Amino acid sequence: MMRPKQAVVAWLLAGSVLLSVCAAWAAEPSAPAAKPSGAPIKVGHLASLTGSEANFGQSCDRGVQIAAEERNAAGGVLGRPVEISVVDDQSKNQEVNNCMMKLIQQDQVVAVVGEIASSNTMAAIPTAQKYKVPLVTPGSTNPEVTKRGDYVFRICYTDEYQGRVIARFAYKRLGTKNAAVITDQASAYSINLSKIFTDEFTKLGGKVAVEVAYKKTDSEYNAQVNQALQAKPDLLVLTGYYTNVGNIVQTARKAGFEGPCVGGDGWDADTLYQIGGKALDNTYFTNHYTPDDPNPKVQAFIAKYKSRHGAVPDAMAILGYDAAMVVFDAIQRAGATEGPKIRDALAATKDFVGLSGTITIDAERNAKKNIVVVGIKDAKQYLKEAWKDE
Amino acid sequence: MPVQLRNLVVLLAALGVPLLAQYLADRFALSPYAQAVLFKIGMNVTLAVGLSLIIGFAGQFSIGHAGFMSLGSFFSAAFTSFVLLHWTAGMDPALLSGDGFGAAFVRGGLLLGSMFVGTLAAAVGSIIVGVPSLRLRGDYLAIATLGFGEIVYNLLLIYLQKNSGDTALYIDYRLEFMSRPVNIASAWILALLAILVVRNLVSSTTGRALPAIREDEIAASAVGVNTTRYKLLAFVLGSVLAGAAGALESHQTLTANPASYRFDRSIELIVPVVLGGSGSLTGCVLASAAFTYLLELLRDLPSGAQQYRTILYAGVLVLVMILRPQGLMGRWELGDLAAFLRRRGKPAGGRAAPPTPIRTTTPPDASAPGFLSGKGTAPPRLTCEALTIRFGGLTAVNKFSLCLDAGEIVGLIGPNGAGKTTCFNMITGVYRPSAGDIRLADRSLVGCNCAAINGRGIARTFQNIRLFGDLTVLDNVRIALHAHLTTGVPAAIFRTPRFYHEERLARQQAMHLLTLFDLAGLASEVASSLPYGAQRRLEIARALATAPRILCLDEPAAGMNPAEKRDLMSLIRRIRDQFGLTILLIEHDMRVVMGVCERILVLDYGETIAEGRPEDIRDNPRVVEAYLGKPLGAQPAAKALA
Amino acid sequence: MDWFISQTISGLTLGGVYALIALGYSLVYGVLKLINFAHGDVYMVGAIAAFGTACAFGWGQTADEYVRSGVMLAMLAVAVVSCLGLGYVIERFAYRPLRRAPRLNSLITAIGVSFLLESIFQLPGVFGASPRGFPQCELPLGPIRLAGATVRLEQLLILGGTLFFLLVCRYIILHTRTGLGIRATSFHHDYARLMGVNVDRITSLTFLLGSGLAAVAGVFVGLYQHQVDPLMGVNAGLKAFTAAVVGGIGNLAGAVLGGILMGLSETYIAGSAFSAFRDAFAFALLILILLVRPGGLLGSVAPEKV
Repeated sequence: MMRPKQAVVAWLLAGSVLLSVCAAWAAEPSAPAAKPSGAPIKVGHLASLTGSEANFGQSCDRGVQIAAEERNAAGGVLGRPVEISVVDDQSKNQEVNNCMMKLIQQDQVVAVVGEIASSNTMAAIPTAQKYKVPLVTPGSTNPEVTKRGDYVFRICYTDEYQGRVIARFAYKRLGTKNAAVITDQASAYSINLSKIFTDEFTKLGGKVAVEVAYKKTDSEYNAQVNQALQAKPDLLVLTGYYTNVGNIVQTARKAGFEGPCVGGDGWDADTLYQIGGKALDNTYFTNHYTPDDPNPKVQAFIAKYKSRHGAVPDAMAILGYDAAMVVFDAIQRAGATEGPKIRDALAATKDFVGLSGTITIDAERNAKKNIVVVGIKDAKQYLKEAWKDE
Repeated sequence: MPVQLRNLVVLLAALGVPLLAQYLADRFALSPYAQAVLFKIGMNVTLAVGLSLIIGFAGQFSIGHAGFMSLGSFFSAAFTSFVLLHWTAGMDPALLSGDGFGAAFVRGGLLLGSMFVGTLAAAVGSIIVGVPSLRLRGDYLAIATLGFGEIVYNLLLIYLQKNSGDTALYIDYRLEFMSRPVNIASAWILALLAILVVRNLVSSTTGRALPAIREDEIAASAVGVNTTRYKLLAFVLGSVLAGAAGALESHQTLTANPASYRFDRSIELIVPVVLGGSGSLTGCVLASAAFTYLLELLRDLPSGAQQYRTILYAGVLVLVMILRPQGLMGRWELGDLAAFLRRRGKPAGGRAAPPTPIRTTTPPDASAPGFLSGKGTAPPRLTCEALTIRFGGLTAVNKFSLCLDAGEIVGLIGPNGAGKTTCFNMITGVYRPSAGDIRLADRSLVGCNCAAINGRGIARTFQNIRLFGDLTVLDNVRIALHAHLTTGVPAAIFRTPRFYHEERLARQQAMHLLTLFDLAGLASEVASSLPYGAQRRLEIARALATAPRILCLDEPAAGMNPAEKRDLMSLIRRIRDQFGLTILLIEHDMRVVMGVCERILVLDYGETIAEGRPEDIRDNPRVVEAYLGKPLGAQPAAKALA
Repeated sequence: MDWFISQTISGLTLGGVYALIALGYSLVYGVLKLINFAHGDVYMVGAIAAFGTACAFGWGQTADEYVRSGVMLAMLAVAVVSCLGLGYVIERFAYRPLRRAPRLNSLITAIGVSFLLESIFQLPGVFGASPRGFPQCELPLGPIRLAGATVRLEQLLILGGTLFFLLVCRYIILHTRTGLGIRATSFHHDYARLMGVNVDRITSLTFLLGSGLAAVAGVFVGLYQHQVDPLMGVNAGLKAFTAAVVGGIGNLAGAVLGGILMGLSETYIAGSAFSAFRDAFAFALLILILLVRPGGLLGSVAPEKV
């Protein structure tokens, strides 16, 4: 039998290790406030800093932090400094609720920026609604998100719009007629985008010859690519994320496919070019912005981001920045920090000039945004077309 | 009836304390975040308790346990989303989303209905996995649950993709009010009820079958425990609790996302159970509560340090396992700790009475009341007809025939490897004979499992002692009384008056048997700590506790000194007379065999080479040859055997 | 027909990689009766080590065949050596102290080690959370046409390499003293010890052998898929473990058979109209085989000595 003393000692040991470490970290002072005075206004950021979607969360957080800095340098909000409370949901659905609770209850944030992944944003909505704290998602493109509550806003376009643009671009500009759609079946984003693309492409007169599925945790796509190429398509549609897309394009090129490939904003990451390399020539994806944008504000942001993090910002950083700025602007216009007032101000956002374009929130709490089609050549992206609806 | 009253109070407390906690939390405006943390603790405790029953008590690995949460979460959410939406469509909104008690009651009822659907799904799932895989011993459950978790994830994903074009099920937002009863009260009622059920189960004679299975599955079935049934019971109960927790979780966020319940989640569920001390209810409750709280505290880390959270978690996990392999609490329970402290209070005479010297005689009154009173009739006749078993190409036993009449003591001897124990294994159902028949009172035993054969009145001991090592001497015997109880699992869980009656009776009987075998003073010792001879006797006592008509003893004298052997011989005769048994005995010690047996069979290389009275066997040249080889010349080597 | 040929080649390639990893699971299970959940991460470390080497030597930037082959051998060497070291450290410090503890403990420790490796490699300073592209290198021959199907040269190279290392493993197990020791230790620790086998040393060597094979698999996948990431071991590990169980865990030929079977069935299903059912089918196959043959395809359930 064990001696209980030993058990107590072991318990204390385990407990104190954990406690001391978190106490040490918690004790670190947060960023000092700049010129603006008074108690800081806190804005939450619900982000996936670790886990499978860590790269999105980390990029977005960098954008949000830069936004807060710039706003504070420009006098803060309502004369008070803004402070960002970040909380990591580890890319896990089941963590979101308590993350939101912590932001709202413990950190007393007045609004929350987040999440990127639509499923996590969805899980955050009940809490936001319950405590009447506006939730502004920078990058959840699932149309369903803003339908679930009147405190939820989106500052990017939806998959419905994006999917239609991809289909039209492929049909009208690339002149392709016979598509193979390859879907990440573990991602709602990809499933949805594939569906919308298929509908629109068929409506335009094209044909989806074959649909194939993989999962984002896969690392091998020969079977799927073989199956897709079996139908002799002239276009590959890859609606998943860059983590798989680069690889799939490579596999397709090696199997002898030379036609164009298209996809959505999930492609956007520096890693894509590194993984895909030359194979990515003649591929195109829709995005929220392009680093080629001559807009000086965009170029200034890119320069700042580059000097700090050593990389060109991806769309998530830009959207994070815009989302935070839209929230600051709304608080300023509301003149108050109560949730319902900020909500009303957010709903009234009109012609806000952000890095990813001009943002106007419509009655469905979505932003009507312009979309750019990015092309890839020699492992570099270029602006193929700034899409205008026809 | 003070015990019944106490139980009622405990039950009411399990229901009342969470409600009171919820009331106080609302009354004093406890931060909803703190409330959410308390809710999560309640939910995680429920999960840990359920898994502790499977892993800690029954000793089965379920490493895809989150799959059952997923079923609970998905089906309850689907029920709420599709069915409740229709049912509540016509209801007064104030009745559903109002603040009054009536509305709260209606909401609670609706949630309960959804939870029921979720747990039902989890139960069905666990039966589908459990029935085939729990029949087998070993890691099959682990692998089957691992596969099952992945299958659940994939099938739900495909269903969702086809039907909603999404990867998660979202409860219709009009049913937002359904997330309101998901609070401290509901989580803690669930947790406390789970603790109560599991505690009541594992501290009953019926429920002790579970740790017996964990300790030694073959021995457990040899004393009449239907191991498949009990493993399944623990597994289904644990899965049902997971399903209930999953249902709560899906209603908290109005989302059922199958991706939340994959392998990594299953591991998260196992960790507190093992860290707290596998087999300690107190340990797993404390560990899961502490872990939930600590991980919540770690949210305060600045964003740059968040990445170290998982490293810290994994590091602590590995360190605790290495430094304290038995878990933080080992097998200690709250009750043990209290008893320990009491003992510390009065330092000198604390420990259990010193072991009585082994060689005492004069058994107490043997006409035991209750279960052991025998069946009154003579033992039925056991016959083996041409029993044959082959392992691959090896015929271990060939055409073994035996007829055991009531009250006989028959010896089965032969050189090592002759197939004696294999015969026992066939008779007691451990092995299935390749050919031949075993009949007890003209009914065949072939194909029956160990537990069923034990139920028919054949008990055995093992050549290499198979006690329930980590359990006490008393528990070892009590478990064997298990088959005679008329009250079952429900009575144990609900603690009916009859349960108490039988529990008292079982204790009395067990103590009676222990006294008979000079083990009463060691009743509260752990079985594996007993000296060898005492372990042998305990094994016989345990076999007798199943109230057999025929007792098979496999080398009971092995490892005993001459004095102990002498006692054993008289003991064997005594129990035959007192309990009215037939005894079949394997033994190498010829003094013992010749001394007690009335008839002897000799096996060599699986063949029966001789059968007869001891004095005939002693002089049988084939027997002598089998033991000593061919005699040189005509000189009989019989003396060597005498 | 061409669909069938190209899918079969892909399936065999994938199956070969599974087999290499599955062997590690089976070897360790044979010796320690432990499901080494950290094994998939050893494979990941092998791939990342090869990635580091390839980057350091600027593989893919040179056109010289000799330099390329040299770098490729260096990649294999570095990956194997680092995995051997890792395997030894894991066994020595995480598993050996628990040799006498309940098996569940080792299981939890294995999972802890797995989490530890994954989260360490996810740190931005170490490797980072995002996947990275393996430096690319054009092989002299393009796709080969075979009866109308396209076969890639890498696939054939990997198939050949897998076969070679499987034979090496077979030689070690069947024809060396160490192999004899491994077989003896798998049979029974105490008996092996009585016969003069140093069980601790043999256990370490078993881990080394398994880790080495995982490293080879890591290099192959890096070359083949041009992508490495810190979580790549999770899925591959789970599949390879399943393969080991399907073939009969503890049985080495079974691990190879299971791996090939797993690779083929996955590829056939993923390349059909039912690609969404791939994983569900793979795990259903697992449960089905366990029901029909509890010991796996080639394994046997030894009757327990009572």
